Amino acid sequence: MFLLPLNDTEPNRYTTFPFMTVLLITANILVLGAEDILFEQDPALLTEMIRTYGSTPALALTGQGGGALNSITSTFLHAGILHLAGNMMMLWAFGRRVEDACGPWRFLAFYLLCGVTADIASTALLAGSELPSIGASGAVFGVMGAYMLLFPGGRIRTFFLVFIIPLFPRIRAAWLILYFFLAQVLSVYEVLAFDVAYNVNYWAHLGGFFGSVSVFLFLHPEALHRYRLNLPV
Amino acid sequence: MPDDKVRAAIALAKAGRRRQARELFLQIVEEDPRNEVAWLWLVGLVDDVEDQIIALENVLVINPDNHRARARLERVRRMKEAAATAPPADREESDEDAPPPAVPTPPAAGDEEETSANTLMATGRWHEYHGRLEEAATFYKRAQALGTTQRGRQRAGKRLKEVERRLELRQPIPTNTTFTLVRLTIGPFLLYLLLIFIQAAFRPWRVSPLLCLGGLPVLAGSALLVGTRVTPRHPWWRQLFGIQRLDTHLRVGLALLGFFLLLMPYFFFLWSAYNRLNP
Repeated sequence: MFLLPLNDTEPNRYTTFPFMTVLLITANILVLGAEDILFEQDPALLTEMIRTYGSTPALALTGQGGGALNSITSTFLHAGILHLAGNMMMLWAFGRRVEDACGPWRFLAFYLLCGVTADIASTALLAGSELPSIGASGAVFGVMGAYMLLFPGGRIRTFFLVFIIPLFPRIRAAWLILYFFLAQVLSVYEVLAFDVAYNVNYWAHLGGFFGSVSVFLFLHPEALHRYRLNLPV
Repeated sequence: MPDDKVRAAIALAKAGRRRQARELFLQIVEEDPRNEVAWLWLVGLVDDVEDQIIALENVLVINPDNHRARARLERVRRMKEAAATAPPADREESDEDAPPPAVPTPPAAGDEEETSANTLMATGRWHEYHGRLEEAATFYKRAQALGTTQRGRQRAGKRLKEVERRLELRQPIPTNTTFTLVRLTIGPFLLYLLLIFIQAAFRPWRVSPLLCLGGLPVLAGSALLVGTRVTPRHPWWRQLFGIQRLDTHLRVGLALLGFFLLLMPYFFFLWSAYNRLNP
């Protein structure tokens, strides 16, 4: 079974175009394009780039490397087209209405904040690791968490592959996000309990997810008041 | 496909299966409240004069140039006025878009009431679609009262609840400006704090005093931006500049200053981080 959120089927309330979400997706695509160009020139150059601009816990904790800069740059680097596509589809599906509720610039700050909390969680929990971690997934999980808080009843068009049968149901956001959250928790448990080899930074995902509570510091005043009055945000 | 449904409904009506045709047309207008053809056919398929008037009014809102529907509406209204004594009005010439001559079929028990309720529901949906929520609520209330089946009443009640909720949302919600100012100012500052925490290798006591000082412009810039954008009438402005409300020039100027103050420390320390990366 495979599932991928494709689109939020509910309309925006405050704005019409998710300018910042589109800008972030474009930036991530351009960076992957740059990575591909580097790889074609010399694969060692790409490795060097990932080491320099990815977030490496061992370096961050010893005051080496770019520090805070790496926390931000690592969220724009991806390991390949599938990695990028998965993250960007999720950002598109969940980011549009979160941006609508925050406004584009506050959404950018929130997105970066989630990326930073994800990086802090992964650095703190993988203290000795010398593997650079890259990807927007921490920030995207933050956006997903914010969506869950603000629009639990929203319906997401989802690509659902059961064996070889593709389905496109509209799934309630709360269930979908809960599924992704539990998948991360179970993966973390598996890694901790059975020492399973992994190449996904689940800690960063959970860090980003918990960072999502900060969305209330970025919400449009009217959106927050609607939330407090238990009205649709 | 809506066109297929319309064709099927017309075929049913022409075959004399009025009840099925009516149900299908009601389904069509519920899905697409702007379907003029469906509303036109419904005029000939509903038995209640009130329902005919509603359907004709809907046709005229969709297409105000439909003179035939206008004439028919006037006739139906006259017929209503003379309801007790006057004979029923003659039907119009039949064509593809107009309803067929009525085929007298005995309505089933509770059929008329249910049809009225369905028409009212469809009209409510149509008003809702056009953003006239008060009117929609009125029609849903009537549909709820007239509905003969429990399912129909529940459906009307559900729509009514949703419309009332949306009407409630239209009311302006008071916001506390001081709370908003403080809340929105904290967000960018928190991001800055987390970044300098990472920059100091997760050891807060190693944060450089210069970076700590950078927090002040971030706070000030953030407050200025929020103040000018979200709370231009805040008493803060009166205390600072002795004015009741920011005019556009002052607002833009202060917003630009706020933007500069907010971003300057970020650029400064991201630049220092970059230099640390490439000594």
